[in-house]
Amino acid sequence: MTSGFRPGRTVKFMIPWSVPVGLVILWQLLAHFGWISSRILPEPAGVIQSAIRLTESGDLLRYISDSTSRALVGLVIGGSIGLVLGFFNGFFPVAEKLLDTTIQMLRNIPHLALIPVAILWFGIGEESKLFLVALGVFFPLYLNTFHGIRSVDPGLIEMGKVYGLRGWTLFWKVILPGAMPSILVGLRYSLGIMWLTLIVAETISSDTGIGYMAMNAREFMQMDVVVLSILLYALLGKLADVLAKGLESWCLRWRVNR
Amino acid sequence: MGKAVGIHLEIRGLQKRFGERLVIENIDLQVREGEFVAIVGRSGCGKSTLLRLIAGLETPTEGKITQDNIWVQGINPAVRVMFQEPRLLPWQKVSDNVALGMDGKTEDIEERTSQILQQVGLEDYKDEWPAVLSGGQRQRVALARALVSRPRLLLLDEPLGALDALTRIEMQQLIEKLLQKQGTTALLVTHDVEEAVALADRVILLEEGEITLDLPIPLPRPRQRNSTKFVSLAGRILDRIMQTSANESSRQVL
Repeated sequence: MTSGFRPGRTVKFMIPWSVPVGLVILWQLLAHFGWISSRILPEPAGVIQSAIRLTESGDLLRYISDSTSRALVGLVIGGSIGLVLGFFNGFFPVAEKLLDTTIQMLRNIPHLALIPVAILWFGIGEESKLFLVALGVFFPLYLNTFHGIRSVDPGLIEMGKVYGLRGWTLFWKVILPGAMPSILVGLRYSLGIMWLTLIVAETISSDTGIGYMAMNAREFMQMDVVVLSILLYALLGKLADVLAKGLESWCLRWRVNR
Repeated sequence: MGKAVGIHLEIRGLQKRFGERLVIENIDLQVREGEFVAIVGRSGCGKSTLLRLIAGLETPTEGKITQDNIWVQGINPAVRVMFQEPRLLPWQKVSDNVALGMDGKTEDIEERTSQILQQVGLEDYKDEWPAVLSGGQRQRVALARALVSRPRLLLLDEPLGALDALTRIEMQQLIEKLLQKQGTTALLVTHDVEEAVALADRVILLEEGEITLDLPIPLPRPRQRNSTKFVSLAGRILDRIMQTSANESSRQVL
């Protein structure tokens, strides 16, 4: 008989967070007793202090909102192009024949390799960052939407047609929900790429945003602010993932007992 | 709520080729209003293709299919199909699956949906996802979906093939009861001779794309499966199927 360890609700919530929290405590102790130099890693309390300072001045909120809006606008632009093109190529074999080879070739270019091109085309303003984010999120969404459409059970489509579903109704009731699991996988990939691209783009050239905050702080040797921006990226990435997971469990709530 | 009247189906000189392969050779068939015809045959004899041709899911190479003397081409809205698998939409609740493709006022649809779910004995499951149902329950939902719009012609493509023996007999009785009530014309494709004799007014044997036996079943309903007449009819059809295949294999040896 295995009595087993049955954690309660609070404990269940705490388990995944125990490692990061433990690491922060260890880090605080090491820094506090001077085992690691503050020039290598400032103590967490210092990071928190700088966070408070930057919040009070309003800079932190502005940087976060600038970065977030860049990320989201890029996601919407690139994501919707990927979604539409994925649907289009998924439905029309002619379109797939015409476009897929091109898309596969472009996909194999690391989109970050286009940073110099983006800067020459768009300068260091908003456009170049949006371009890079949009380009980065496009491919996972395109590929997974395309795959999702193609993998919808043909038996269900046939059934829909026999039961009088045509055009848009068939799309809304059968094809889109059938492709949804795959599309959501694409979205989660895209969210990861979205932050990655934004961090790189903001670090290279920017005049606002979290990446700018980090690079600016580096010039003034403000290690605590650099660490703060890295932590912010981690938290924002986690937040995006939680939202995507929430969306997934809502959209796919019909997948009971699986 | 008038009784839906079944369609008069007429098939003339029907032929279907898939590339070089001739699947339906030459079929002539008449099905009266409200008649229940079972099509039996060995696998690969073309019986599912015949059903798909009538449903409009395939286009005939030659020949005509008319319904009430009207030539139908493409998918016919008066036809409903019950497939071998339930083919329920997993992302729609049971009641929405049943109401799929129904037109009209919401209250009207709701009323008819719950009525038919009651008839198949699943009224307590109307707000469940199909994933929680058993195989037999799913096929009952599919039956409800097929019948809720009171189709004039129902095509059943081995709908009970995947069910266990007890559930299958239960489903056969349910289908018989509901179809008689609605007066729908029905075509059932099956490889189970006993099922064909239990349900149909007429049994047709399909061999290599041709009708080789057309046998009326003049037994009163509900039918007793152990009655002498039932057993002898089923035996006759089965013998006929086995005999031809025996001839064929001996021909191949010679």
